[in-house]
Amino acid sequence: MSRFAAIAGGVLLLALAGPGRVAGEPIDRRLAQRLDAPAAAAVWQVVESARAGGIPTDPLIATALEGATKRAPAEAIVLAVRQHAAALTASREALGEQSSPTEIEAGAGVLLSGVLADSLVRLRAMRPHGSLVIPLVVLADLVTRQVPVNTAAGALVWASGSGARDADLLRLRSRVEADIRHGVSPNAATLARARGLESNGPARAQQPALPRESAVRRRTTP
Amino acid sequence: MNRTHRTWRNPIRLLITIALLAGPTARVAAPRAQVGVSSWTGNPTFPQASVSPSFQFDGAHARVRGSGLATAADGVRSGQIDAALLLLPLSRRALELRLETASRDVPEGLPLTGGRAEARVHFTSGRSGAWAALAAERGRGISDQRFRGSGTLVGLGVWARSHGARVALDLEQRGAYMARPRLRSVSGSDSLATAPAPANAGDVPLRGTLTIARAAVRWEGERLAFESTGGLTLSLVGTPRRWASAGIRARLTPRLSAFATLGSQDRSNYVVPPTESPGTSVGIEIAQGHPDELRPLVDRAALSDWTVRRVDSGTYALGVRAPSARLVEIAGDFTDWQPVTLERTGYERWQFVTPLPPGLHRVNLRVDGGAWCSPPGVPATVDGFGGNSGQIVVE
Repeated sequence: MSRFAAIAGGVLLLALAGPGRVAGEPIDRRLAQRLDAPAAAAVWQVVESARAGGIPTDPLIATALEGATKRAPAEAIVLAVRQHAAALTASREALGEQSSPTEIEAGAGVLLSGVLADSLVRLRAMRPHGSLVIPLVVLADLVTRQVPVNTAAGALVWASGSGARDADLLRLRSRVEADIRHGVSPNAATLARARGLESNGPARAQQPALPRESAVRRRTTP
Repeated sequence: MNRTHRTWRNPIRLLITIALLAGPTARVAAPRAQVGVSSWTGNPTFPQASVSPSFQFDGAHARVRGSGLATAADGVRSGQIDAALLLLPLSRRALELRLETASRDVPEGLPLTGGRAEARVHFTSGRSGAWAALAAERGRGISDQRFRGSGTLVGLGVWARSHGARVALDLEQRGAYMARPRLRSVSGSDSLATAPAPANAGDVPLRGTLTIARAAVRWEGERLAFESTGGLTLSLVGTPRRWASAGIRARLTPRLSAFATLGSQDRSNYVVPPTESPGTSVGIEIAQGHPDELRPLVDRAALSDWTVRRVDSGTYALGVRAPSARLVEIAGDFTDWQPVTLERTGYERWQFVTPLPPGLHRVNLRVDGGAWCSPPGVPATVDGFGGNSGQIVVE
């Protein structure tokens, strides 16, 4: 009996002290199935840190799964998840603690596109109470379509400040996309379409100015 | 009866093999059947009814298709199965492997079977491309006498597409092992017939190498499709033969079309009308999708008209237009980024119905096994892996 108790105690000790024992929850089943073990563990570590910091974790798991679907190397997946976690943290700081998880996620997409956090702060200042999801989605899209960061951010901050509705911003985006498809430079298309909003939309006394084409060119030309 | 069984056994065996090989990627089926009336010039037994069933299984990088023809009055039956597998599909120089087998059975005639293996290198650049091929061929028929392809067969081709139209120019060398039904032959149009017909057979056996120059144009609109093919067949055993055909298809419903064809066809395989004389056919086609026969496996359909339609509370139908696409797949956070094949809801539209909780969703599409891309017209953002993803906001 004492021998059995000794063996059982040893097994229990090994189980508690073994490498499979982790402090938090077990690794998400989807990560374990789609990634190799080291990559899944590394991603899960980032997820747990984000959870402890109050950051939305679903986008992080989704990024890892997206990388697996696109057959990205494990190192690239872990790096992308870490960058995404950092962007979510920065987005929450820039947009404010009261921002919704969807806003934080959209803001992270903007930051990952190369826009500075300062633009998110300015956007929040233009819309202190309204949702910023659509402006952020439109901003990320413009930058993804090679619109210079300063032009895109300036246009969105200006449009939000001038009282443009979400529908106006989505229309601006689709028109810029069409212009680019027809050969107009992304920078010129954004400025022209934003000026179209200026001529149609209500003007506000304290709204910021649209970036000038020459200034943009100076900033974006190496 | 035994002979017929023997004739069809090899293609069926090959089909099973190919289906097993291509099975994991064969995810979209496109069965088709044409029922019509055909008439050929100068032949007293026509017009007659004909049935032409066909099927096609499309995968991301593979295709298996088969077609057949059966005529009512003279009992001609022919069938063809071919399979293609694309290697290095995302490269600008993709390699395509093709297997083709065909069989033909004529009452009171002699059955024929043949096979062909081909390796084709594609060079693609957006909306145009070129290919070069090497092939080996083997045929059997006429008292089980065996024939082998005469050396290496080659092919060259170019193609381009724009605004729903496609143009293809091919130059191809093929082994010709055919039987011409002697009872239905028409003098003057069959330039290949040089040997006198055996007294105890219904077919005139022909064996030789054909050089075929072919030009084809196809235009496809919302409801109408037009296709025309013409060419010149050169042979050492006969005088050059020119042939041309044109066809039009009008879509009556998503799965029902009316078709009409006019002209003579290339006899480069065994699925042939009973005669080479010009003819006309009219009929009805029932089909799940209408594959673009001219489109190389390496060419991918374009996506347009992305829609998000609310079906009921929390459920949405995501749709996209992809004319002639073989396969459209979707992946997003709502599928845990597992690729899901969209359902074909007509010739051009593909759809996926899924629950979408409120929030921001990321989504990608992939057509014909190509690269993942954002849905057309959807705001995009970088994905962290060198590409981008579309973003959908559900309120």
